[in-house]
Amino acid sequence: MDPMETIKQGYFQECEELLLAMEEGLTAMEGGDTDPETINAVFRAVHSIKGGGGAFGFSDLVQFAHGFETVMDQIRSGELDPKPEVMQILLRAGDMLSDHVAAARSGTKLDPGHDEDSFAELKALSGKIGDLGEDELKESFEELGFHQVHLVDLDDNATAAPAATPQPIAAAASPVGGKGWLIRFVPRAELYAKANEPSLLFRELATLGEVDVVADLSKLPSLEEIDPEQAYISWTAKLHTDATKDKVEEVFEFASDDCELDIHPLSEQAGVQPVPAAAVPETIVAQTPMTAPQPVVTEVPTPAVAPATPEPAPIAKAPEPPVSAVPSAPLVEKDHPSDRKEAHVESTVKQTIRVDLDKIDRLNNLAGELVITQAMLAQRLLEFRAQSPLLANNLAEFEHLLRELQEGVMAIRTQPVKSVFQRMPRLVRELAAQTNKQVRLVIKGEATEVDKTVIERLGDPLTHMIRNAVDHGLETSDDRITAGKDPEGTVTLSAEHRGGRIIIEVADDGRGINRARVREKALEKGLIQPNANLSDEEIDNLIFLPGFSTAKEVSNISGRGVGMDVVRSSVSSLGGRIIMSSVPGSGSRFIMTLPLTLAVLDGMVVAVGEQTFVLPLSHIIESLQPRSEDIKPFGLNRCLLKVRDSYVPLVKIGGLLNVHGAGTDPVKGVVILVESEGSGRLALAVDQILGQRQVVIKSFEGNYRHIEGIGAATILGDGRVALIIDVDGIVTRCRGNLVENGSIERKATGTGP
Amino acid sequence: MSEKTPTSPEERRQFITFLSGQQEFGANIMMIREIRGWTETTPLPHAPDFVRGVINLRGVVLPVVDLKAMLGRGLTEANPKHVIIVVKTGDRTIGLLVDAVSDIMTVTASDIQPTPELARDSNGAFIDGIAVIEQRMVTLLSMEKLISSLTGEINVSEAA
Repeated sequence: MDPMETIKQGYFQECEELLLAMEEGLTAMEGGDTDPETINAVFRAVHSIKGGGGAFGFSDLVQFAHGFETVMDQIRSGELDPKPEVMQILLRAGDMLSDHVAAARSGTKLDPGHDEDSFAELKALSGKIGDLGEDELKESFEELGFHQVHLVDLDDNATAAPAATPQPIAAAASPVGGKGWLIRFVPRAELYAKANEPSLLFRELATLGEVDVVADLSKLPSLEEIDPEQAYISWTAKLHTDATKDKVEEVFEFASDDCELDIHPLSEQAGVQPVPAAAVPETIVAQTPMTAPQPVVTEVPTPAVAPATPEPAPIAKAPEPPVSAVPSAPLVEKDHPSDRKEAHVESTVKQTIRVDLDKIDRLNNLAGELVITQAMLAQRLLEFRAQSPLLANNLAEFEHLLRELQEGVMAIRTQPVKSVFQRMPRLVRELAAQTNKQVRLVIKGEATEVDKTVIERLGDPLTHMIRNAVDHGLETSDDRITAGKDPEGTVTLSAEHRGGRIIIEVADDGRGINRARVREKALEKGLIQPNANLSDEEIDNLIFLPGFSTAKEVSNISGRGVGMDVVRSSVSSLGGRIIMSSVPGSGSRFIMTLPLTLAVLDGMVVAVGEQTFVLPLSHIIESLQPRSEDIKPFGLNRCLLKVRDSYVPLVKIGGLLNVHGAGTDPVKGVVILVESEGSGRLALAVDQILGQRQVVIKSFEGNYRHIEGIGAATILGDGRVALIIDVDGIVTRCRGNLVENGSIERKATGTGP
Repeated sequence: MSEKTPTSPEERRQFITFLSGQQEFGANIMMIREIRGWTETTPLPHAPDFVRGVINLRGVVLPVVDLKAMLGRGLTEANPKHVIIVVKTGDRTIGLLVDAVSDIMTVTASDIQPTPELARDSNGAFIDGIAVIEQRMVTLLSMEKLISSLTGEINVSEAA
């Protein structure tokens, strides 16, 4: 990748974090947080996005961010009150800024006018935002929290110098008695190379008495010609003191070899200034007392010494009128990343590094292997009857450490769900605006951690559920008032760990499920039988069936032809389950339970013939011992099993997967009732249940090919491979067998060479 | 492709030779990761008979292919004396069940003859040519073709 592109990617990654920080801060402010640090955090985030954006020439982004930043700055200074109306505008502006970043990232341009409304709002709010000009630039620069160093430009002396020095040159000529020393100090490059610092010398000097220092910049070349290793600046200091010359020389003791130093009694030179300030326009003026260190002195020598510090650019450029407004911004902003970084780190405390996901996966795999090898080793020792309490102890210790290692490695991959949750406030705002409802989103437990892959795939179902809650769940304000509720509806999004899984809940305080309508609709669509006797819970969960949507009109929000069945299938593809409960008139709750990682799976280990299989626990409803009278033949060599009052298709795993030596009579084995995606329940006949355990998922498709009905493989404690059954694949396989009676295999192998 | 038989006469390639059903085969040594003894496999459902199943190779689930069966000469009656050659091309790894590994030989392009026209049958899909060295005839296998046929890019069940 070309280096610029790498930097750009870095910028966008940073933007993601900054946008999150911004959103977080804005949300806190909306909730009434007036902590200056919160406001500062938002300001910094916007500012950093603008700065980086400028460096890459994203002019639209910079323009918008600048407006946003100006308003934030006014809030920061107390000029603007962050009242709710203002916060709404800021939140919208935040959304718009993330659109800008997204557009810049994809290399597209936002529609002209996309940000117009929001920008106009900001403008109206601030009253200060013009086009990005010099004034704003300087202003924002000054507000950065570090001190601006005003260098006096050749032509600009009159304006800038006084600004930097409230006690100007006059002080140098002020006749404070006649006693003292006039010191001319011309450092050579070696002085800086030895890490000496003129400002410290002057500070030391100031301990002897009152001191006026005048810098001589006449040797300072233009910016292009500056050699950062060279010394260009000299100083003339007037020291009003009773101290002897020796004392003064002592101050420069360590530097004297690397500079020209002239020390004359002040009285001799009185009235004769060796470097008259007025005659030398290129002057930096430092005022007394030196004990309060002024940035003027401390900052200036830096560029002359440290080549790595990119300070000269901003210093020299800042006062210059920008040629064109936008490109000048980067010059000012981008060269201060270190300052910003430090401020950022301070505010977040937690330190993070970015690691290639592949590296973590490799580590994860290895940890998994170690666990398996350990189990095999333990088993071997058992076989060899190596019985020694010491050995057993060591083994137990070893196992314990390995588990810890594995957990630790898996924990690297986990992230707080915050990254997904933070996208939701914006969604809710937009939905509220579209549906004309008043909605408040409450987020809880956003620090709950879960595997990165789970997080990545959580966005879609969550978005859909929130849409559903706002669009279908909540009533309009009028309806709510009629019902005696708060006109503002509440949607609660929460996450928590429970029993090794993560539970994510989306709840609304809306009207709840209209069961009569759901039932009616399900009947109409032929999803249930007219005489079906369904519990409330069962009716509620009908909405997860494919092809079900109760919205009276198809709105453009949630009625996009996909229903809750899509949510359910994406949740179940993550190895999770979703249920909902509802109380008419007071709201609905959707509860998702998801595994913490996709790398391991809770499974039931079963024996079929000579083989061992693993069934994902998330699909299992119950296991039972069938009675022969409950098994009814059905159609062509099929069977149905009577489970309480309903009949479910009975599938013999041994037969379906061609397992050698599998039992043929389900009565002698065990039947496991599973829930499949889209096809309801299924009874799987196996020979024996061996137990439950967590298994590490190993894909073999990369080395072989997909096998319908087999999801992946795992390695058991004895080192042998066991196949993990994919319940939905079993359903597909059954259907195939039913229709084509075994000819599916030919089709599945593809077309000829 | 790295696996192709040498093109310039001077170019030398090393091949591992192995026996399967009394026939001697050769495979480019660069493709071979390791050689290990036979262990019981976990059969894969609905796989062609020459796919003997999968084994655990230090955490990797490795499909094992019976070369003899793949060439249509019946299943190998595998015992611990049989050998699994672990072959890797690209990011795919498989195990090849053979009777025994015999030798490493260096082959130059001039040693290689094309497969005789009449001998080309369905097996031809995986054969790169014949190397004749010191009166021995070794059939050179293309591991890439063999593996891609497994993963479904070439229909094996009909070729076999």
